[in-house]
Amino acid sequence: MKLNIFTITLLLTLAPFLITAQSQYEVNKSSGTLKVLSLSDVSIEGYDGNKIVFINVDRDEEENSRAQGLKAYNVGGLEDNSGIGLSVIEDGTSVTVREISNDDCCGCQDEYTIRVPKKMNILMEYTSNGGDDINISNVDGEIELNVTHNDIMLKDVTGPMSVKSVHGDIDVIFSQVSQSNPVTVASVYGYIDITMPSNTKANMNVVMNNGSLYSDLNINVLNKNINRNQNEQDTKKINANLNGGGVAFNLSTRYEDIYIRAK
Amino acid sequence: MSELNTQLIDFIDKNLSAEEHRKVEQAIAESSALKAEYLELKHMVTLMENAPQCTPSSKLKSNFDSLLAQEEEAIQSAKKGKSILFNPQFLMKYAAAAALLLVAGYFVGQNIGNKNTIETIAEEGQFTEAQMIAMLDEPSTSQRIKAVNIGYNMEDADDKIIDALIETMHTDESGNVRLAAANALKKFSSNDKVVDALIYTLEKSNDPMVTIEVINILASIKEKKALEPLEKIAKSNSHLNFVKDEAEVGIFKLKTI
Repeated sequence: MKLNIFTITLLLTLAPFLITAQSQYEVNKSSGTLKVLSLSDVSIEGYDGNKIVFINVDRDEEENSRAQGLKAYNVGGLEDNSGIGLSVIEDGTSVTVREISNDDCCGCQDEYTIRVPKKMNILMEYTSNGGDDINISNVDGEIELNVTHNDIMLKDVTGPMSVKSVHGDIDVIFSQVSQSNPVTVASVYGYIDITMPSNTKANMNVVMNNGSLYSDLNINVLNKNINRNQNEQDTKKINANLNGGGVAFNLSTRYEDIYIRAK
Repeated sequence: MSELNTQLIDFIDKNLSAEEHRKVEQAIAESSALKAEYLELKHMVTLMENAPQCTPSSKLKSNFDSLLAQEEEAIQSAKKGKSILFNPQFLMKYAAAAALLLVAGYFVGQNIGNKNTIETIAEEGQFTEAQMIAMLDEPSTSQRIKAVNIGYNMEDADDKIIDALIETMHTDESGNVRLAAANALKKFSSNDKVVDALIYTLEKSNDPMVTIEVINILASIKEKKALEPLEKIAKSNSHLNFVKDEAEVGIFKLKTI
């Protein structure tokens, strides 16, 4: 009985390693930019290492046994050079990854996790219909996201960043805020929810055409105008500073609210 | 250094034949390493072109003149037979000094664009027009957005700044930067050139977010010239439904409010 439990425990412990051994692909790279194009379901996690590790979370080898040992190609002519359904191309300081899947509409693309060295810059674009939430965590490099439908969740990031989603809600939780370059977050139909340390120095440019701004931070509004006509056609814009001013925060939504919280 | 690298300066100065120009242009488009080098070089050339001219004070000039006179006297009194110009040692000194100046200038130029230097300049108002325009070529997206913000906040933005913002709205590779440029241009919408550029973007942009922003800018400034392209979008098959909805809203605002 004891032995059985031991064996089972051992197998359970080893199982993830046995599986990931077949469904992950690595590129040696500790800095530069990771460009993620056309991946619909992806999480990106920063870590202290020198490799980019691509992991296909739900790779099912049984799915198409007829294709075993063969390489997949997509309509764009790209080939699966990673063995896990991705085209991964290195070019100088950047690494570009695209999904090799022609199943854009069925929602049956594989889910991926990408582990990146913390300092890497991330560029991600996904402009097709649909697409799952985008999760990025623990990244200190610059982040650029350009998507149409995806919700976005950024956690333990520092900026600088330029993030836009037409329909998606955007949540950003800063570990601290880099003062080097602006933080720009924009949505049309989604809300924006920012959490940052309360001592963050920032200049806020907040545009909310049809929504409101909510905050528990000590926001010092610079363009106060209490006699303002609410029906004015002008863009509703607040210029404010936090803790005396610092890096620029450009936040805008057209139809939803903006939340800025103290961490 | 390859032939292409050495041609970059001539490319930037537009000194190449049409064929060579095309060749370099293509090579830049194909190689990100070359593109990075091109951007850096272009940045530097812009900075050098726009570097302020230093005029020496009259005191410095008279000091120099008197030094020169003293030197001439010294040379004449020494009665050297051969011309000073052909004295190799003398020439070497000048060559070394010139080289030192060049190297120092290069590093100064590099540092102006250097991120660390920019970090220390907290106030956006402290940037010059040339620095702002050069920053629009930086590889970092957020730094280009910063440049757009600087242009927006400039008290006396002239045609150069407006042209740079228009070019950015039309051609920047990042939708985030194009969006920021469109937003910034709203401030200058009393300028006909800006209105034409916004309408051009309305007709040509394939980024839904940029299109929506431009629709709203044109509606808020009540620009009737936008009606025709908006009606085209509302009826088109190539635009996404929510963009067509925004175009309808824009038409409504222009016609009724």
